[in-house]
Amino acid sequence: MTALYIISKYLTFPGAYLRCFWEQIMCRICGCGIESDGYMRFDEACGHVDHDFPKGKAKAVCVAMIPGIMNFIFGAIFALSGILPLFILGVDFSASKVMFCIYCVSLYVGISMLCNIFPLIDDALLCWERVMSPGKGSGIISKILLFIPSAVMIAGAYIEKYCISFVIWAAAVAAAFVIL
Amino acid sequence: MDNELNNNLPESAPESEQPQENALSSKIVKKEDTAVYREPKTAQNMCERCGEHKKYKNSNYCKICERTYYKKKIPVLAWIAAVITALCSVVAVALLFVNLAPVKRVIEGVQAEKENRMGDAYYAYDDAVGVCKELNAQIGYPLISAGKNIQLKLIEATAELYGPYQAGGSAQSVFDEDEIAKNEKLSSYANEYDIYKRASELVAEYVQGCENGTMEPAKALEEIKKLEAGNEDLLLWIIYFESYIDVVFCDAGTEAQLAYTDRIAELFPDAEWFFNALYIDIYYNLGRYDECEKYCDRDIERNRNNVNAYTHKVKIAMLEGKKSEAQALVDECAKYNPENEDVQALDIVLKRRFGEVQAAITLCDKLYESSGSIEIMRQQALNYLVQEDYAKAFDTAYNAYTNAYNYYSYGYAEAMTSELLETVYLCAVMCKQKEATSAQFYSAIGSVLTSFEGYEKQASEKTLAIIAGETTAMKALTEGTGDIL
Repeated sequence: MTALYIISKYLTFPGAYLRCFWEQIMCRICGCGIESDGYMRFDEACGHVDHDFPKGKAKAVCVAMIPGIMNFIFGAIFALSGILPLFILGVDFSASKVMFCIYCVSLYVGISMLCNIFPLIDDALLCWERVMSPGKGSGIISKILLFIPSAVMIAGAYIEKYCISFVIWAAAVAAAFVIL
Repeated sequence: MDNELNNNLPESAPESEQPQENALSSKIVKKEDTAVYREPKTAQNMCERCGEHKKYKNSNYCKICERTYYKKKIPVLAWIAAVITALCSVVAVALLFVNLAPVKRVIEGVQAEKENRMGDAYYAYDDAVGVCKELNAQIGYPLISAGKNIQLKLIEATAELYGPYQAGGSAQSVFDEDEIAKNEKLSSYANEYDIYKRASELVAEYVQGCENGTMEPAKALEEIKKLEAGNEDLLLWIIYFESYIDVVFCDAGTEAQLAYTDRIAELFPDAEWFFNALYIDIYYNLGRYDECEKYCDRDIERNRNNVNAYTHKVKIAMLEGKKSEAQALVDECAKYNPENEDVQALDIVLKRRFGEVQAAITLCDKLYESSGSIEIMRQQALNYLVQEDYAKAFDTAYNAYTNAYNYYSYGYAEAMTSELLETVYLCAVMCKQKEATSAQFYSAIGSVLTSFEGYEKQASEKTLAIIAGETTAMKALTEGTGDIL
């Protein structure tokens, strides 16, 4: 499974690499120590930064969520700028070769980013624990507001761990190219 | 306090002042030589990460570990990647924005297609293609394009709206032979177009002969009938041309036209796109309203934007005096065709027909402000005629006529309708008859009546009855279909 995970990360390397960048930035901001060298390592943390547990609830939420949000924003922009012309306007190679290639690259970069929006399971679970645990800053409102995002993150972390997101995206794009 | 003291001290202490805790600490001590008091190295004040150096200020780690662990440098490549991503995302947003206009039209087209609004679907796809061409022409580069997928949708909508032979003509201009051959629908459209072309070529000599007056229509009809044998695949069009010659040049009448249409419907039961509209007109003209409504419903089912079918249904409801049914039909038609001038005019006719003339005038004023439509102006002229305000009626009709004439001279022939001519003629005659004319209109009425000289021969019975005083405009326009034709 790890091999498959690493392959999926390498296949979506633009998104995986950028996610590491956002993760490292967030760790620096939140004062988390970083252990790992390099972003695209051949282990279970490939595409992630091996970092210390953040201190405090807000930091745990930021480190777990913000890199994914950044990747999602950029990924959505790139993916949409590829999906709209390719699948809705039906632009093909014969219409404009250069533009077709640009749209394909944009689609690939966008999907690679969207395949790397969730944290590692450990980070997601830590975030859940911090959000749901009693203590300072764990008011009912923050629990309500962060319940769904935290739960989605845990589910997403498992989905990404088993490469399901990559498989879904790859299948969707292939189907769209065939059907449309 | 201990911690503060500890933090203000150098990392290592002289060997003499340090207990021999471990070999690692002794290595560091050797490098230092100072008489200042040094806190002894203990497990508590050593770096938790490397265990080699003493903890740094307010930290659990030494200075070296602080730097490598907490302030690990972000790779230059990552910064470059992030900057490139940010720049490319700007380009992506621009592309996204540029593509949004045609995409929006395509989505509207798909939605219209799902709701059987084939007219809207056709115009949406056509617009999407047009927007792309316009933008590319402006920037001088094929930045956005409607791909073959949209062209195919446009051709399918054309087939639904105007018939597969028209779609075949469009397909041949957009797709090459291989692409047409690969697509089942396209090849069937192209085949229909070829059939139409072959049939037209076969009968061209006879049809043109009748139109030019160089051939006897009966002889032409006989010759076309002979073509039926051996051209079974062209039969639809051959029968159509027979019907055209017979009805237009031989004055065969509506019954004969019905017989031709029946024959086509029997031979080609799937060609609803062809015979539905014909049946609607034929049955309406024959006064067989139930059958007319049946074909109206079938045509509306195929295309909700079919204003012609709705108009016939509303006219039948008005003829039968069913106000609420007619209003419901107008509302339904307006729902699917909100900006269609003919539908707006139908609403005005309906109001006038059931005696709400003032409401019709108010609606006309409101609609004319937003659309400036010639048909709305014509309806307003009829409203004034009903109110016996002949000067206003002529003024409005004459304005509509002038506008239509301008459109006509720019090549928009559809602007000059027989209904408009009839209305202008009626208003001019009535205005003169009732001596409601002022000096302002005198010359205009004179010029209209001069140009309409002999028009009474082709004027409708209703118009002639109003002019002759056998009925009033009030009576004639508030009964039947509520219009002069």
